[in-house]
Amino acid sequence: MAKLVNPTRRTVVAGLAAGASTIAMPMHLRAQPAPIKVGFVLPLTGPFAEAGQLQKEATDMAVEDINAAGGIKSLGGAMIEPVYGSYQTEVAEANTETERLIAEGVVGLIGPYSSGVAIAGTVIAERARIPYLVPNALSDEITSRGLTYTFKTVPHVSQFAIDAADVVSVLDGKGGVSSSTCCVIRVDDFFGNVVGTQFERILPEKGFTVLDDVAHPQSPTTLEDVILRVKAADPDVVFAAGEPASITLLFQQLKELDYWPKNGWVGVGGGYSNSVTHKNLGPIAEELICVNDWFPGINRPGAAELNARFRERAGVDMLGNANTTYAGVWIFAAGIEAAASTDPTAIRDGLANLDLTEGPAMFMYERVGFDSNGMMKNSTNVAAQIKDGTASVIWPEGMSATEALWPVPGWADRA
Amino acid sequence: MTPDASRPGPKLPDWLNVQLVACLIIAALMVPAGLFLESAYSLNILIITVVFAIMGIGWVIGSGLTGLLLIGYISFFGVGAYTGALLFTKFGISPWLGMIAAGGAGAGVAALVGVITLRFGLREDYFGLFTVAVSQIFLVVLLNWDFAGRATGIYITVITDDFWTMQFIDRRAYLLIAIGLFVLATLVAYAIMRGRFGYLLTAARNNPDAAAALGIEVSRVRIQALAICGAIAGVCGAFYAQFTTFIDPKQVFGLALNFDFLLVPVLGGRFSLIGPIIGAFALRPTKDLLRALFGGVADAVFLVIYGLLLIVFILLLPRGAAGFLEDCYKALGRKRKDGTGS
Amino acid sequence: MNADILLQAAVLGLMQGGVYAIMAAGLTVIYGVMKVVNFAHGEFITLGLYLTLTTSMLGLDPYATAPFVVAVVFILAAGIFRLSILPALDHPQINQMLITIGISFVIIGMVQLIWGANNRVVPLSWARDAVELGPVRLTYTRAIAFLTAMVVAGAFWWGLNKTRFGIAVRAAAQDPASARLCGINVRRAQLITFGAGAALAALAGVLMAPIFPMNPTIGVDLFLLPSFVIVVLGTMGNFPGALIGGLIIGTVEGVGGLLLGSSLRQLISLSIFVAILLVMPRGLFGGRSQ
Repeated sequence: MAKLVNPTRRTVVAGLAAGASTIAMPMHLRAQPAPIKVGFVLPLTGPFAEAGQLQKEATDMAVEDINAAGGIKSLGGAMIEPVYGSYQTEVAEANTETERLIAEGVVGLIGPYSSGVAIAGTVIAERARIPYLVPNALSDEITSRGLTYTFKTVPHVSQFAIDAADVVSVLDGKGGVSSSTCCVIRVDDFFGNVVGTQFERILPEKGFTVLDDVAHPQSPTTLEDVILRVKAADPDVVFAAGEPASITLLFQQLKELDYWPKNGWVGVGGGYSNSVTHKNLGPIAEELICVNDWFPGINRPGAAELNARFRERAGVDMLGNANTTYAGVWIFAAGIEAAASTDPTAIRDGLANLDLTEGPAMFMYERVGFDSNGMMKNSTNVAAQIKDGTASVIWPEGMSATEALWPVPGWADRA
Repeated sequence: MTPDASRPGPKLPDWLNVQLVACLIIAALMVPAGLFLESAYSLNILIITVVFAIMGIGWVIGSGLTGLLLIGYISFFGVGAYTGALLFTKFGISPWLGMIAAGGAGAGVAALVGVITLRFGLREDYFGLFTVAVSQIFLVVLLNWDFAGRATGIYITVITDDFWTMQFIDRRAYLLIAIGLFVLATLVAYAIMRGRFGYLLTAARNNPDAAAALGIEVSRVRIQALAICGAIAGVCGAFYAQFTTFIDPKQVFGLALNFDFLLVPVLGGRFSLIGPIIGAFALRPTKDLLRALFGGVADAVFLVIYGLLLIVFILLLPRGAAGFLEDCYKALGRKRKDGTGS
Repeated sequence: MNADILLQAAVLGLMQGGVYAIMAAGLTVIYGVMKVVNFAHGEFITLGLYLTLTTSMLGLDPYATAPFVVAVVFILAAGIFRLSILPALDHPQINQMLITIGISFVIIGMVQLIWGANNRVVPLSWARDAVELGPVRLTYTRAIAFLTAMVVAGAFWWGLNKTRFGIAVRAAAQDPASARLCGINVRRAQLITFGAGAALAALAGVLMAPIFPMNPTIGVDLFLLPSFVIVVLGTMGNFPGALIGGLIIGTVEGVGGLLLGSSLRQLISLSIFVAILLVMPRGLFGGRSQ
């Protein structure tokens, strides 16, 4: 695919373009347009490196696909050239890398992994008047601050609460039970806190009584106290959010203490849909329900084929954040295409006015367009249940591939 | 630098003055160097380096000079960062005033730590572990404090150029502020080391009992030094919050950053004026350089090399780089004295 | 909150306390003999965890290979001590601390290079199996960890008090100069003590390996601070103090986490830490100060 690009010609062009600023030239008049630099800020090292490296893999794949498909046609087939910035956890470090990418003349930025980094990075982009597309970080605040160069394609955290509650009521109907009480278990970090706030707000609106909201440290020495608290509250359902390490410990200890909520367990976000976590837990993860924006088993055009290609290069399913990152690069390219310019402000306008109903991004979305805050209008969630070690989509109706098991029986009563 | 090292001459200038001049020269050189820096990347590294140097100066005053084993130093920084950020985001108070308040808050916490520990007679390791515990208590409390945003922290969103809110699209402005703070901290440290207060601290450090017998209020001078140290760290924290635009408890009370802060003055020189800036320039860019070299491949390689470098340099230069320079300088002085032959 | 659940929490806390006890015992022994505050202590626990992961991946029983793992960490730690801490023993304490932090960086980096950054789990088929004792449910792994920790700690204490070498070590700790005059090889005593302290940490790691998912920074993230809290509670340098301190902190954390919420659990032990430092800085077993 990438062999459509003549490597020598590409090198020459890259050489010519090196050092050139982003001054918009009438590139479409040229025979060989300069590549368009797009910056990616990702946690390529450190504790989130696992996720960051998958995002990079998805980025590389998307860029290769876009270039193989003829690049940006409105700019004479200009190629996309990814430039990477890496951070571990420190926001200051990520800011440094963001500034470096801007200095290198990128026309826009895509990333990062964590909401805190996104909140700071989007401000830098706003100052420099460069569009920043956020395909992973979930916090509602990213697009609620009136920034005009920020675009976010993933659902708000509040959407998780709404969808998790809806999943349970649909499952209740099918399984012939009713869930009215719940507990929330969440990790005490940025993500866990925004999840907690939204769950506390939305679950009561959806008719749930929240019996207890338990936050636990990011690196817990044990989660037995959490489990015993929830056991004492005895809810119908548990709604949870966390990071891989704590989820693994939590489920091991659930089994050890032989506790399971009356009807089932719904985990939201990247931690619960992480395939390494499922693998580490093995049979203990079975029948867990997770809510996230996409699963490879989803019934959407191109999804299966795309996941197969990704598996081939990365060795794992296109889960976690790889899928949204892949789609994000295509959406950003569509913005450049619409702008027909490499001027960052023109690209911003292009993104703001997008309305896509077809194209590669449709493996995830029904329709792509942003509201006035830069929030994707139609981003939704999907629910899956772990069956034989893989996440099988069970909700919403049109996209589901499997029938869900609900209520999920306790440990002793499982097959 | 040493044109007349070979022939006899007047006595060498006092080492402390030499350090002051060197610090000011470094500060002066950073201004044009920073202004001509094309990339915001290098600029960011330079600004963080200066922040580390300022933090180092604070620690030299609070720990190096007093002899108190201040390990949980980051408490003062974090308190300052939160004070500045909360005042600005919740009450709209200008970060310039916020920095002053943050300095006050840092000084207050530091003085309180001093009063409690000295009142209860905590020394050495016990003092050190107490300060670590304090920093971790701040961490847990802020993680559970709604008003300060819990784990979601505080973010600062101002996107227009505005002097009053300390928001500059041109990042070089932050460098100038940082250099200004550095010069200020250097002058404070110089005044302490030069003046009577410094002698009192040294006496109290070298032999607390003897100092007390001579009528020095050991506890009081130590608490005062801690307060100054806390003020410097607090101001620095507030500046850092404004510069990074986002803080959360794990960042500004985390042990990782804390130990990075301690490494700067220990590698640079615990009692010296010039040590912190040497340490900061040796550590911070090295860290970024190593990350750039190995980052994409393996963060682990970076950790191993960084750790080994730290061990080797602390073993080779137990008094830090400035201690080594001081020895060289004094040896030079002796040689020159011998040269006069009198 | 009913009594059964409280009892369950207390028992689980006590079991965790057993493991806390030996990891803190390792730290306190090192401090007691050479006054080194070892910030790399958590990393020796990490090594115990990961070496056990490797032996179990090779199909060996994680408990059967414990002596091997402990011996490897003992030798490794003694070597590290000889090269990096021993030369700094007469340097200022802050230097020693930062050297141990350097050691911690190196070990974390090596662990990540060898075993990767992902979370790993020791494959042990019966790791989650438990026995019901009335209202209390207890996994075999926790029970084994607790009992082993207590037995080993007892044996260690006996060795420290009753053997010739133990007496030499204690002499070296109390008065190195006089010990040297009595013909005691102080350096050797220090070397072996550091190795043994690290070996105790590694044993804690072995015992926790089937219980916890592991990652390279688990030592510093999870176990460093509790170790210090326990060591201070039980009087720095006091071996039985660390054991009792471990049991106390384990139980208090278990029950406190249940009552106050997991997120505030750390605050309980930190508060005990600060209170002990202020009210009786020499710990529960240090006698009255001065």
